[in-house]
Amino acid sequence: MDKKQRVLIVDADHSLGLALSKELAEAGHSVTTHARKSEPGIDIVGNDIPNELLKWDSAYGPFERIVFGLQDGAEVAETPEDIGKIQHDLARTLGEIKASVQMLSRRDDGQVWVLLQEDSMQYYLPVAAQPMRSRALVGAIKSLAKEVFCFGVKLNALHVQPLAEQLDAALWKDARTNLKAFAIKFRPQKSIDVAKFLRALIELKGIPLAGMVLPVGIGYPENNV
Amino acid sequence: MTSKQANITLQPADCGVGASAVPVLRKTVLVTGGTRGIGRAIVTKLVSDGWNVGFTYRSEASVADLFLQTLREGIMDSEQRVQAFAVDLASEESVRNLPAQVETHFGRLDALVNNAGLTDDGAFLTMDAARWQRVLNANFGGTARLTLAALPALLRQPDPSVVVVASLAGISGKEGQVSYATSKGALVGFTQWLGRRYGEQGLRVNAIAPGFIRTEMVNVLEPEMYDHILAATALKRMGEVAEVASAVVFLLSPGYLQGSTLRIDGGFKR
Ligand SMILES: NC(=O)c1ccc[n+]([C@@H]2O[C@H](COP(=O)([O-])OP(=O)(O)OC[C@H]3O[C@@H](n4cnc5c(N)ncnc54)[C@H](OP(=O)(O)O)[C@@H]3O)[C@@H](O)[C@H]2O)c1
Repeated sequence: MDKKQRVLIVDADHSLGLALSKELAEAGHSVTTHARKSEPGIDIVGNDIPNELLKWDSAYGPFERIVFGLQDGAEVAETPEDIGKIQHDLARTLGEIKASVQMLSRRDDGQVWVLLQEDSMQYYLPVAAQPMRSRALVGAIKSLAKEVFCFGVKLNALHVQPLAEQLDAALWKDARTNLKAFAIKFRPQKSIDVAKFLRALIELKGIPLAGMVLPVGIGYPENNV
Repeated sequence: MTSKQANITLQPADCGVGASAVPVLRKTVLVTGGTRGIGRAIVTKLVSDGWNVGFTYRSEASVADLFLQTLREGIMDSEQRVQAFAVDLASEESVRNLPAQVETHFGRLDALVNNAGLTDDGAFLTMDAARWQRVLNANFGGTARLTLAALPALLRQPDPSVVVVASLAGISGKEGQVSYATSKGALVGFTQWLGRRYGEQGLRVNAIAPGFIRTEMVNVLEPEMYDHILAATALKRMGEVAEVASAVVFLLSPGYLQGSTLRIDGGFKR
């Protein structure tokens, strides 16, 4: 490990966010967890991230790494109201990523990670995920990363296939059984394994990644365009 | 009346302007942002291929009117064949009402080409939120709302289809275009979602992602501003609006493509 990092996990109230927090803390890093509503194991509760970030930074930081956690929830586009909600969530997330990147600018070697839910497994598993949010943020991250690299911030995403903890074991078993002819049958990946992978990236200094979207999953092809 | 009920041949694409022994019931397509650039080329191509075409303009009724007259020259029943409609993607009301207006005028709506879009470029970190939210609202919100509003009319037809004009920026990212790329990426996702959701009901939904296309806007740029893009393009030239229109026509024709985003980028960085 290069050095101890101060990490903020936004929307940490998810199996992956909690696993990452545990993994980072055990490795000796300083971790601050955030959620929109009060939950066990969460340090900060708040909804107005762009306006509160600096306050959190002076209380718990200065942060060198900010991770935007996975968000659960079926994102459907059946009605104009659904569209409004997706649009609102996207605008909010963009504003939050912008504020984070601004804060890490000119702090040497900042990293911002955005965790996106891969959704093509939905054909086999009732996972609550749709491609609007993830595809939109892929466009955003690849664009903004090119703008902020010169300020010493590396913005990247993980495109994460469903995690074991997101669904009942029986559903995983059915899905696996139904994929009889699949060459390398997918395995449900545990949150802690993905957390270990991300922890390793977070620990690296001068990581050779900016504007990248890394697919994370075992045995299932990434959602293609 | 539908094509299944009547002894009428359903066209296009071989229903050019000439007379036919059998009455022709033409398919109808709605193209948004049809008065200039890529949209104008799409409208021109679809009219000449025999579609009934409704196209939209935002504010310049005189420009739309002039284009309408040009399109109608030499076409029989021209008022039934081509019509212009005003719409602002930012207005939920005008978006909600548009498909019904088109269906009322032509008697049917078979296809929708979501071409209209805008960009507002600049450094994202210093950009006012109102500016980038406007882009998201029109490009993603307006387009998605219009598509939902059109679904009932589309699903009444035997082979309905939607084409979304996204952008290479939404897939590869582009500095200075964060909100534009976000909105176009959202449309790529929306295309996948819609194709998955309504595929079983026969709706075909696909997108195109144009790269650098020659439009009026590009004509005023200095070559130094885009030479590096052409250098990284296998075909070593810009795309033409007619080439984008051909891809749209291809996606509108029956086929096995679904939820796909076709890059029309001359082999950019490939
Ligand atoms: N040109 C390129 O290189 C390129 C590359 C990739 C993707 N694209 C996409 O291709 C599409 C057409 O591009 P273009 O270059 O032909 O653009 P353009 O010349 O600027 O034309 C855009 C069209 O969209 C309409 N429009 C814009 N905002 C609207 C709104 N809020 N409500 C309703 N209509 C609106 C405009 O209507 P008014 O004239 O009335 O404003 C115009 O007809 C766009 O979606 C664009 O993002 C273009």
